[in-house]
Formats: sequence, structure tokens, C-alpha cells
Amino acid sequence: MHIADGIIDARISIIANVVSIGIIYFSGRNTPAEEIPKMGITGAALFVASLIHIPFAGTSLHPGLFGIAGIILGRRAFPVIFTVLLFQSFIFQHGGLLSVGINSINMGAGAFLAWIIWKQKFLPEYFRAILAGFVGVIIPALLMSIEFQLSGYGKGIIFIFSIYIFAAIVEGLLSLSVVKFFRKINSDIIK
Amino acid sequence: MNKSLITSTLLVLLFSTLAMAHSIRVDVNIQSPTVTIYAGFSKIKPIANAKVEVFAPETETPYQLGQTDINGNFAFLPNAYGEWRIKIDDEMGHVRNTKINIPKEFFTTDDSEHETDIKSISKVIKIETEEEIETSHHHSHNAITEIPIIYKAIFGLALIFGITGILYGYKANKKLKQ
Repeated sequence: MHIADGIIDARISIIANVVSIGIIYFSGRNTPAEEIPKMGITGAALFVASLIHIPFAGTSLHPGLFGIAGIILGRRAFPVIFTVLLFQSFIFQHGGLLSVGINSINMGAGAFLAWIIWKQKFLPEYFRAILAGFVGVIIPALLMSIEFQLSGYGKGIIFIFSIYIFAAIVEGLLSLSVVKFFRKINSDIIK
Repeated sequence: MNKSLITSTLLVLLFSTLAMAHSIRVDVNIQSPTVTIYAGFSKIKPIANAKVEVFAPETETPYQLGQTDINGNFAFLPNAYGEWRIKIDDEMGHVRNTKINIPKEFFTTDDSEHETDIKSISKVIKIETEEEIETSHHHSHNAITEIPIIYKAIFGLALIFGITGILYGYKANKKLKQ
């Protein structure tokens, strides 16, 4: 799901980077000290999650954990996602360095929507957890497909998107098990 | 906070050493009538399409010019005994100059003696070589892709935890002062 450099127009990539820095400022300011270790640990999980490759339908998928990041961190997920993507880009060459902004916006949108869903307390918790995990993958995949389509890389995108539906279901179940785990150990990490 | 700083600094230092230690390994196999060379970063990481220049003893004009194949191998047929020079350049900032000594027996044509000669000469020899590492943009890029993924992951995690530690220390310090 990481967009490489040279696919999206350079000007759009630069604008996305500027927008990302703006979002980081607004979502990350006044972060209480107690939140920071939580952000670090979630960031570390997101960073290594990309190394777990699951071969599927001729391609490979890896967990993104953006839904879980949204559940745990709320609006503070964005600075974490941006940092993680930046490190993945220059350490693992996952996605381009210039496209970090646009990738963060794609994946941050998934995490943000996951958080919005998680806040709907009137819904049953297991449903919220699964749905949050699901949108954490499907929203970034949808945005990426649209961006590819607009850049003239339309072919095969429908196929890629259909693979992500499978990944999103897996991710939904994964976030359910994470939520269950935190409830079991009686942790106040998730509210 | 200090601990995280020290950890990340140590890791950065460790990785810079790993990048420096990354050099061309050359194995030479002399077996009459050919000399074969293997060039690689390790035994399992050959350098494909590296530029090879072969110089006959006491000449400055190349005897043969070529490239290593996909498995990092290169071969040539010497026509004289003495000290041959081979220059291998991966065109990414690594150059290695190797000197090999071709003995007189290499050219023995007598069939009866031939077999024993091959036995005595044919062996993989490690040769004293000098290496020049040119610093270039390509070099640093190449060096980072050579690091095993597990080290990269540890490096990234150390960076993340280091940054978390610094931010936490900064915020906590600010809170204490208030």
C-alpha cells in the first residue's frame, strides 16, 4: 500500500508533505507526557508489522495495524503513522521518501475513521473493534486506488483493491483480538 | 532519557562500522589453461556485471577487458608467466586490485607431467590485494541495502524508542518545572 516515488505528481507529493506537517502539529500539540510511551510502543508495533508478509493471490500482504492505532491513540495516531512511514521508507525502502506525506494521509485517514467508529459507544464493542480494523485497511486502499487511477495507473487497481478486502477482514479480526486482550488484562490503554 | 540517547548513538555507530566493512571479496582459481575469478561481497552475494581489467606482467595496456557474469565469475587465458594484475570495479564505489602469480608450470604441455602439474597448481588461492573504496553517493546507498533486515528492524526500533524517550523526558521535565 506504500506508494513509491514517481507515481504521484511531485507537486502533489510536496503539498501532501506540507499538509501532513500541519496535521502533525494540530494532532500532536499539547500531548500529555503519559501519552508518549503509548505512542512509542504503538509506533514500534506498526514499524515491525510491515515485516510480517502473508503471501496471498500472487502478491504479499502485511498487517498495517492502522485501525488498532486509531483505537489506541485516537487523533494522535497521525504523527505516529507519519514517523513510522518515514522510517520504513528510508530503512526498508517501503514507499518513496517524497511520498511519505501522501502515504501518511492515506493511512492516517484509515486510523482517523477507525477512531471515529470506536467512539460510537452505543454499538457493541466487538462490532466496533472489527469495523475499526476493517476501515483501517480499506480506507487507505480506497484512497490509494483513487490516486493511482488519477495518475493514469488504472489497470489492475480493481484487482488490488479486491485483495485488500481480504486483508481488511483479517485486520478486523486482528483488532478484535487486540481489544479482547486489553480487556482481559484489564488495561486502561484503550478507553 | 540519557539511556535512550546512548543506545541510539551506539547503534548508529555500529551501523556505520558495518557499512565500512562491506568490501569486495576476490577468489582466484588457477587451473591450466584458464584463470577464473569470483568477485562478490561474500560467498553468497556475487557482484554481477562488475568491470574487469586484466593486465599482463609488466604492461600497462589491458590484456583483456570484460565483465563478471551474473554469478560474479570471470575467466581468462594467460599467455605468459609472471605477475598479472586484475582490477575489479563494481562501478558503485568499490575497486579492487588483485595481483596473481602465474607459475612457469602453468604452460607445461607435456601430457605425462600435465596431470601432476594441474594437481599442484589447481587450488583456490587467497591473494594479498589492495582495495580502494571510493566515496560516492552510490556507495552509501548500496551499503544500506546490504544490511540484513533484522538489523534494519532493530535499528528502526531503536530510533523509535530513542525518539519516544527523548520526547517523554522533555515533556516530563517540563511538567516537573511547572
